[in-house]
Amino acid sequence: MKVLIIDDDDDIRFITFLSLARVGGMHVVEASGGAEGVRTALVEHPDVILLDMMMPGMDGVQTLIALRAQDASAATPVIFLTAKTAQSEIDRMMAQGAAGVLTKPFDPRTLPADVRALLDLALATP
Amino acid sequence: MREPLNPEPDAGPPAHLLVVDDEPRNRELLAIMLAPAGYVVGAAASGAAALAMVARHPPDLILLDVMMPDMDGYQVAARLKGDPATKHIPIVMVTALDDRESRLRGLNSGAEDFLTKPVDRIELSTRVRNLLRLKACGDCVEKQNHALEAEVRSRTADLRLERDRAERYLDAAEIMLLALDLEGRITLVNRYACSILEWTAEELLGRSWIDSCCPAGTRGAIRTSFAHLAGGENVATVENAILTRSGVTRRIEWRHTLLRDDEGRVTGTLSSGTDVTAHRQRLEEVEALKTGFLSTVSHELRTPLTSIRGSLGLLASEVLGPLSDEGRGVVAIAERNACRLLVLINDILDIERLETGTMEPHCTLVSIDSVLRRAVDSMATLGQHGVTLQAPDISGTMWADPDRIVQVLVNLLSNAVKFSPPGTAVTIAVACDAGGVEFRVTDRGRGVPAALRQAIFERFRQVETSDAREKGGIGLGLAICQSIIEQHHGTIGLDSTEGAGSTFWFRLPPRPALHAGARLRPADARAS
Repeated sequence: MKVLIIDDDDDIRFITFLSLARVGGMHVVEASGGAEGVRTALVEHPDVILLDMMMPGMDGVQTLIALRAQDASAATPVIFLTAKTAQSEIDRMMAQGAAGVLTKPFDPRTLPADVRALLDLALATP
Repeated sequence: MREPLNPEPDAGPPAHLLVVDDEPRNRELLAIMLAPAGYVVGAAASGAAALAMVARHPPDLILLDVMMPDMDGYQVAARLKGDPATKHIPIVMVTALDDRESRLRGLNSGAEDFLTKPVDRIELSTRVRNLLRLKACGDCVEKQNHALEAEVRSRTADLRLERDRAERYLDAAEIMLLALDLEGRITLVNRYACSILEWTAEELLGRSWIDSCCPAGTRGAIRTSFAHLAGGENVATVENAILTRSGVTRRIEWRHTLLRDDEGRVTGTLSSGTDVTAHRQRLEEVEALKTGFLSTVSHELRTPLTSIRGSLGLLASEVLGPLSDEGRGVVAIAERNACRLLVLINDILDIERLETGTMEPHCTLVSIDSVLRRAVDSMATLGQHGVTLQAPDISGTMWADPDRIVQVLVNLLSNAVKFSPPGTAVTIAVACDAGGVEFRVTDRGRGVPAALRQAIFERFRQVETSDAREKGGIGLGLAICQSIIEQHHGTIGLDSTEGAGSTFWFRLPPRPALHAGARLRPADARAS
């Protein structure tokens, strides 16, 4: 499984990479911002995108809208990985068509399983 | 101030009489006839001369001939009676004309009496005396009237001053004052209220308050509230919107009282109002700032914690390389404390969100067992200090927000485990019937002193001040539990025996026909 991580925080991106790659055995590609993430998605064709919400420039929701506007990434499941925990914010992310929301801090030992579970749920839901 | 009534002319200085006649003989004759009574008698030979003398020195009575050249007696009488300064002077017409028409004409011109020439002395004296008495009475009454009028003017001025002072107090205190009758019509409105409403008191008095000054969408509710108030129900303080003349809506906090007549019957309402529009706007701004601040704090605290907890988790998983036993222990300590820090951050954010109403429950029909299992499974990762959990198998459903009820159960179970001696069990019991569902979490810990059993649900309250350090937590968990259960329209409580343990319980009502604030959403598909 190929996962694209879009997060502006280098430390968190590295930990997420280690968790998904070493614990989850996934193939991971990274981007440090929304615009870079959209470009990477068009080139790499990931199976799922883990998207941070609060980023300079394009934030998570704007990035998701940009991904949906491109044919090549329009159907790619996007899971928000965010420190935003208010219900209203989570509702806003889901309303934009996210496959799910995972909150930070996360447990790197269970993150790959959580991503797989949300992906399975998204794929099973028409 | 008032002079005593003195209708007897003899008691004062002699009366001044004016004889008006163009015949000198007649003037002399009348003077002679009146002299014995002590009157001071003046004389005028024409109407014009008479008017001039009256203007200079008004007499107490005038004897007026009718038939005179230039200006006859009728004209003189009409002029004198038409002048406010002289209209009170009694006039006796003295004439040779004795027909009914002449008499009537004389009386119509304002004369008080009529004497026919030749004049009888006794009749003249009697009529003059009687008229002077009447005039004295009239003068007395007039003086008293003047005195009364002066007093009324003075008191009115005092009242105006008093009212103006009261208005100034209300202006300075920025208090609106409004009285309504039982039909809701405005019977009193003070200056400050007028300035807020942008109407004058004259424009408002008698008009319907609700139809004139309340926004259209609120009139029904305010009408109901007014009916309750006028009916004697206690609606002491309310806040509602008013509409100004220019169409601006303002928020007013009202204090109401009932107006009653002497027999105690309600005649209307009296309300004092404070304009809280600016205050409410400031509160909303502060609330928005607070929400923004909480969101930022949440994000900024979680971001570094994500790196710390993630790093520790990766080390502990040993995917990066094996750890020594001591290394594993140290990483476990660091990870446990990172989790503790996260719980504290979550608790502080949750209590704020619960109190500001930004965390409302999303209720759905949910399996009791699934909620219980999620809570018990969460406990497995927290470490249980040698304490076992005993949870029943339970079927049935409840109307609740599953995430929030799991949060309550985890909170209660964490407390129970923390305060249980090693080797004991924490028991969970669940009872479900038509009246709702009840959860009970029982430990064998030290118990809660009776004095603290209510207070323990308050923020930052713990049984021992050392608990924060020794047991972790800052005393927000139970306050959060209470808020969540109250949002579910349930109750939460505690049974405890000091030294023998505690049972924390909460009850949730059955699915309501319609809950205010609860909304249905699809079963939770979101991972947390």
